[in-house]
Amino acid sequence: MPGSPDADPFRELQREMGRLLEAIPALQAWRVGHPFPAMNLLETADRYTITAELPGQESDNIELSVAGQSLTIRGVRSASNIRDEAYRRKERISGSWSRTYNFPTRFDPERISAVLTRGVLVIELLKIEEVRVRMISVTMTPE
Amino acid sequence: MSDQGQAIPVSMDEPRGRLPQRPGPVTQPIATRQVLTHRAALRSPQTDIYEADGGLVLEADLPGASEKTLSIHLEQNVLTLRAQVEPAAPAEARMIQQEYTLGDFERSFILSEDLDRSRISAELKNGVLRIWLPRMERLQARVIAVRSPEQP
Repeated sequence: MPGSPDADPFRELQREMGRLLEAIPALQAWRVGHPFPAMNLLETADRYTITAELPGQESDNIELSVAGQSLTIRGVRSASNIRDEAYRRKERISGSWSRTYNFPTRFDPERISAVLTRGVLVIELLKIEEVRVRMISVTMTPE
Repeated sequence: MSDQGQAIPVSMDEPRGRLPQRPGPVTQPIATRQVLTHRAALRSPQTDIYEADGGLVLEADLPGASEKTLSIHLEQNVLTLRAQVEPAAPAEARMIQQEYTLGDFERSFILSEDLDRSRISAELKNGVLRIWLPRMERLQARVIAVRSPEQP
């Protein structure tokens, strides 16, 4: 509190900085030291898998859209309605976010699955068969 | 804020890190009920702690945790959260881009004396653990009416 004799000016500054940074999820992520939300991209022969840690988010607030070979995932993690002064510690990030992946291989936009379980989102994209390398054997017709 | 200058009732006892062993000032050994050696990384969950009516609320992000794999352990004044998580992606998949490490969650908090250990309750929903830490009744702030003596 300004004016009170035992106020720690650094704590106040830190709190102000915290307020400023909390306004933008990307900056919050920089402050906390990890991307938000954290996502992993994996690949097998026939599919891509994206896993994302989205604790506390509802599936209604997550949206996927496809354009060509890119996939965009958008979401909102609602901020709590607790007032700033009540926090002893605040590390969890909130706000709206968006991530886009561009894939080198075509995938089937009709067969994308996205399942949210216990705060973990798993998205699966099936690669389109044609783009896989196929060996074509050459047969000779007898003359 | 009325509590400025006082001790903070709940604090973290260790720095963020991946060390499987427990560094830091906690000398009390935490009982290990399960040995978490099957995966390399132990992660410290992001946690909020805030004042609420009559106590504190602790909220920790534990994506992938279920009631079965989560344990909340209280020994002396150290509250320890542990959660095992399973990989969500197929085992044979090749990692292309990694932003988080797979690994179990663990974090300890030192509880202050004024919290009522017998009334701690917890709830896990959508990968978020919420722990309610009520203060002891007698230590809760009370409003004391001040009466001025009768005017002569």
